[in-house]
Amino acid sequence: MFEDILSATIRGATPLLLAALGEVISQRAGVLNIGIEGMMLIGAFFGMVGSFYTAEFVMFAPWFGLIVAGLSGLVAAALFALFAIRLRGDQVIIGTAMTLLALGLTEVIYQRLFGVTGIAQGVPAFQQLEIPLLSEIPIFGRALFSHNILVFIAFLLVPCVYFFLYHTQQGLRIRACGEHPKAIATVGASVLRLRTMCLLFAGGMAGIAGGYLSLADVPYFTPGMTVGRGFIALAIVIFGKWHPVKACGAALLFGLGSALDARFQALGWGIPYQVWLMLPYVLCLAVLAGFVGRAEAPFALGRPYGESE
Amino acid sequence: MIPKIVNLYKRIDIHWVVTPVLILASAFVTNAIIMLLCHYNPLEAYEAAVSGAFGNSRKFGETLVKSTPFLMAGLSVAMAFRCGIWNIGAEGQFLIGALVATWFGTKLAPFFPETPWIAVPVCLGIATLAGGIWGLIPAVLKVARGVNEVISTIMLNYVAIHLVGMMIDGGPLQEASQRGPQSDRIAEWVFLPRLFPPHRIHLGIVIAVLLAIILTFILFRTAFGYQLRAVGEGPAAAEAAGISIMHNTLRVFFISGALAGLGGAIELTALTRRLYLNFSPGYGYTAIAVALLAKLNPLVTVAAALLFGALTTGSYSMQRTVGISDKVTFVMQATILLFVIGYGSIQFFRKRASSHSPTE
Repeated sequence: MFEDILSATIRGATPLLLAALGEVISQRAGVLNIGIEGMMLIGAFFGMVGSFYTAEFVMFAPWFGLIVAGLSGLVAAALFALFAIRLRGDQVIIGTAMTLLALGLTEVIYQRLFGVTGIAQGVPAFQQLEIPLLSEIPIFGRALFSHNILVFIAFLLVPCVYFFLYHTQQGLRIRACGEHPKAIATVGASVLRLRTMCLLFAGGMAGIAGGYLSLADVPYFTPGMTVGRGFIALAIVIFGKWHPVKACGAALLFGLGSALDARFQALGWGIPYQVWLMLPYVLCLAVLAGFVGRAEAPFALGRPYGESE
Repeated sequence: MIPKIVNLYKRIDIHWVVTPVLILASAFVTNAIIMLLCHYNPLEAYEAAVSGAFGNSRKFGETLVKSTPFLMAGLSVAMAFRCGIWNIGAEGQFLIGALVATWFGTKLAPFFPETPWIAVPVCLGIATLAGGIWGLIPAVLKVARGVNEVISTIMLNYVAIHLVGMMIDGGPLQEASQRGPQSDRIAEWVFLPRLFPPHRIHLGIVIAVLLAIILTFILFRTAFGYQLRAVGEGPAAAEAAGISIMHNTLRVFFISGALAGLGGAIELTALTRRLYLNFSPGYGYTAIAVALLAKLNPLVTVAAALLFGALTTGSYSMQRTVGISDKVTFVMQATILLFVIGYGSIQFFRKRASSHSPTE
């Protein structure tokens, strides 16, 4: 039971974490990417397509799918960057457009390629990986060290992103870019280029997170399969106070929520299971309102920046 | 005579006509390219869409019916954005209105006399109020705790979605037979009347259009409307002139939520007559495209909503005729939004962007 819940928590947290790590970077640079839901959906779809068309090479197909997923997220982010950073459009509206675009485009192409019923059930996917020795530790060994490889990559990325953001010059610049972009311009760096790079990273990560859903979580795509996970990732970034390590904690908490939700549903306890589904959003609101510790958003978050200013 | 016409011409402002036409033309061309890439024939598809949306009186009636939720949610968004409030929460407010209308229609209706003349106004009234109160949550969070309304309204949308799920999937409003995740049908005397049965055209369409006219009047001919626009166009200047930003934020959020809530209640009492999961296919998000295409003018929103209603009925017909998924409407909506930003409305946003003073 315990082992089960822990394992499900980690699996549920992984796509949220992947997307949230990207979003942390883009928000710290001052770009509020609410198109993250759409970018994940695009990643999930194209990841599946990539794996489907290389299915003869079983070992290689999921990796190829994952690369396609990441690249498709990157392309979506490039479109976002064109409108939000080059044309200085409103990031909220572009984000909404992104999500609508992804919902429509993935279903239209899916129906074209695979028909209404969908023949792309069961594409080659990432297999469970047992880490020798570690996975044999009693009680929690299997729960922690027996997952597909993306789970390990996601959690290993947490310290990497943390180190990058807080202990490198580029990281410092990114943080400054979200607080006081003018300062960055004064030292001769380009705010626009920096923000574009961060946004591309966020898009790529969201695409990979989507790829996790259709290449590791389940081996197929269904239209609209992200069901709000992108927005949960957005909640995680805020609940984690724009910090990669805290965001990882938040992702695990919400992963636990979804793991418990399935089990409470089976147990038939008094609490309706929708309470667990609501929890991430309510907690996010509580954090924003300062009921659970104050969270300060990057000062310039969501504001377009003009080179002339 | 001639000066008069010139004056009129100046007053109409050419951009009001040219920009939307440019936006729509670009969006249609972009979609045609996407269809070509997917090996669908765009001409055939558009022809099917037009005949599906306007082909005969029944089809046109259906287009009007589909336009109503877009209009109500679009008005909600337009009022909020006018005041510089980024209410992305029309989706949730719409659902809360529908939820309360369901509660009234299934649980409270038996206590009311069996005539629509009393039950329907009461039902729509409390649903409107509920939508407004739901809209006040992000407003209070914003004025009291400085919470960014973009994030809070998105989060509240999901809270509302799961609240609906909680009520109708294993909750108190689930149908008596407990078979599916949906409510019972509301009592017959809570049905919003249909105007020309068997057509589905209903009284809600008239209500929505009347509201658009009233809101236009309020926005451009009353002191309150003036204050609201002043806050939207330059909060700092408005505040210096003695206009309370806090009061306007609260009022506008209430109005915006109430409009969306009423929209949900109309959709429920006039059309579906019961609540189910996925009751709203994203009306609240589409409404953003509707309102922006109409340049946040309530009266023009009527035309924009009609267009989006036609896109919806047109997409069903495209699916039947050329086989493209009806979700292609989402692609259309997204491209319209992107071209809104790409074209004339850029100036609008530049103005807004610079009005975000660092003191905010």
